[in-house]
Amino acid sequence: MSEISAAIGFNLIVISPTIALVGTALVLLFFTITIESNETVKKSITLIGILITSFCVFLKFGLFFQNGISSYFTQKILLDEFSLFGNVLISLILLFNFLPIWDSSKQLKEKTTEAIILTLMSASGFMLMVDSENLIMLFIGLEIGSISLYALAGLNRGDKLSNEASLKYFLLGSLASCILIYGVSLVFVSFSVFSVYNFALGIAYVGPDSVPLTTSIGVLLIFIGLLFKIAAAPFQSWAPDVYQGSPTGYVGFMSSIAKVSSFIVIARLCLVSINIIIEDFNIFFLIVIISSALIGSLFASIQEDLKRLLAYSGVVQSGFILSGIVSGINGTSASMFYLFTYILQLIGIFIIFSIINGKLSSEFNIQSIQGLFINNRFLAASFCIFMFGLAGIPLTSGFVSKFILLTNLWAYEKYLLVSILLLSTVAGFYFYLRPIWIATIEKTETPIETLKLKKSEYFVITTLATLTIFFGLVPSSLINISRWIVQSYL
Amino acid sequence: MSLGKERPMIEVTTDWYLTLSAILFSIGFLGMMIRKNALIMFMCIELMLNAVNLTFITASNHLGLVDGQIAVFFVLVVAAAEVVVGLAIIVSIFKKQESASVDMLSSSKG
Repeated sequence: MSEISAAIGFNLIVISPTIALVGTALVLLFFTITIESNETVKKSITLIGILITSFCVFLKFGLFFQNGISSYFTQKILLDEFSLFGNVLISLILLFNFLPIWDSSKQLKEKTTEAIILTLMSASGFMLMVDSENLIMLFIGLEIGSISLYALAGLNRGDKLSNEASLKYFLLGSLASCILIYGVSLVFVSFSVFSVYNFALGIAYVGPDSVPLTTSIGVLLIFIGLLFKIAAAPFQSWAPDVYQGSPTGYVGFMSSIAKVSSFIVIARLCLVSINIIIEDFNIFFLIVIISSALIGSLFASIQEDLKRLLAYSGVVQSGFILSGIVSGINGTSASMFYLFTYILQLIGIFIIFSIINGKLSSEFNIQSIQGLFINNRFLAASFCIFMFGLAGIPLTSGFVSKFILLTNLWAYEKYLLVSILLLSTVAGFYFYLRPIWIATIEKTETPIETLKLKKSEYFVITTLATLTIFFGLVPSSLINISRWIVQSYL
Repeated sequence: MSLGKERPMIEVTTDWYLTLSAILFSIGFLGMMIRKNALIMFMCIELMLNAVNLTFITASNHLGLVDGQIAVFFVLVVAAAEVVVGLAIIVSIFKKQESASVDMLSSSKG
């Protein structure tokens, strides 16, 4: 028995974060349907589950330092720096988003547990996705994660916009998944492999000049499917509607977790699978990055809804991160730095939105934050820090990440990309600073009343804002981590 | 008598199946783009997933590998899960507006 397990690489530690998340969801379900339990019990179960998940990620680090890059379960699960980074990011997203998710779910009354279970299941799917070596595994992880997110977007059934967001997300998301799995099937047709490493071996075997057409189309379709999930233009059309319609408390979680896992998978595909033929896709990526930067900045400037503005800003940021990943190893390292800092700012800003606008609300007009500064000094200050971070103002992590990324692109001699991205940064100063102007300087008759914050909310927002400033002043620690992620591909 | 006349036999090769699945996938994709009814769009997604299944089976038959057939099971399971969530969403919208057309869903303009 043990010989068989050793032969197929049976190791529960590798998938322990996923098991912990699914286990927590099941325990929560059990407590809800059998024993009449109060809110505190459920809340502590969820929190303990998330903490156990983080501990399991810690265990995976131990396994990694013992075995190095290794694959398990007959080349289904991969343990490398990218998967560890993805696991850490997903646990951080869960930890930081725990408060808004819990508070929103509590307002759903009888559907509290459903919402929490959906969140945990979604996180477990994306954990599986960042760990996947096998392309079918990738698809399953993506679907477990996404299907939960479709339901999460439409949880507030009384709200028409929420329903609409859910249907749009569902239809376009499933279309993206279909395109992705068709790409996988075409790759299987050409090389009869699913593993990302064997795929690279297949390409190396036939030589980069005689790659079959089915492979190129298949890889292109896989990328289109993944770019849908990160809302890069021209595949961004769902993002603003979904961000606007979904309950505000969940949007931070939904957007950050899908982006993290998709970017990590794209990075692994670019660095491992199609590393030697990546030049063939240069034009495709160039179009995606330039249109993301331009369309994102253009539409973000004319938005009157803050959540839609953040959606289009996400399009621009996706263009930035993608430009680093497709340009090479140093660029990927810079992109991972960018991803980390961007996710922290994104979560922070959506926690503030959910406090100002109500946890389950959908629309969030930009004028409704008028006079935020007068009665809510703390919220206004942290709002400014996150917005400065997203815009890339010096002394915040956003500036450092943009700086590192652009200098790397300059070193790769991608002058066109650098100029376009700089242009979109300048446009960004307008659409990121306008909400700050409205919140702090613009005169108003009816400022927002004093909002009462819980101690835990103070704590989370302060942590995120401090990290945003900290990585802006002392970026070296995070730069070392992002160098470590790509070191084995150097 | 034309009974004994030999007709040219057309051999159905792997390429035919791959072409068929590509055509099915394109029909599904076009349907997603053109049709306005959420249920029809939903059926188009199913059509596309089945086109993928056909590709997997063809490849696995051609290569003599069982991997492709196993992949089909996973795709089927995912399709079933999508049906469950998708129909629930459509029903919840239908209750509100008595129609499954996506034209009605234009409150938020992208």
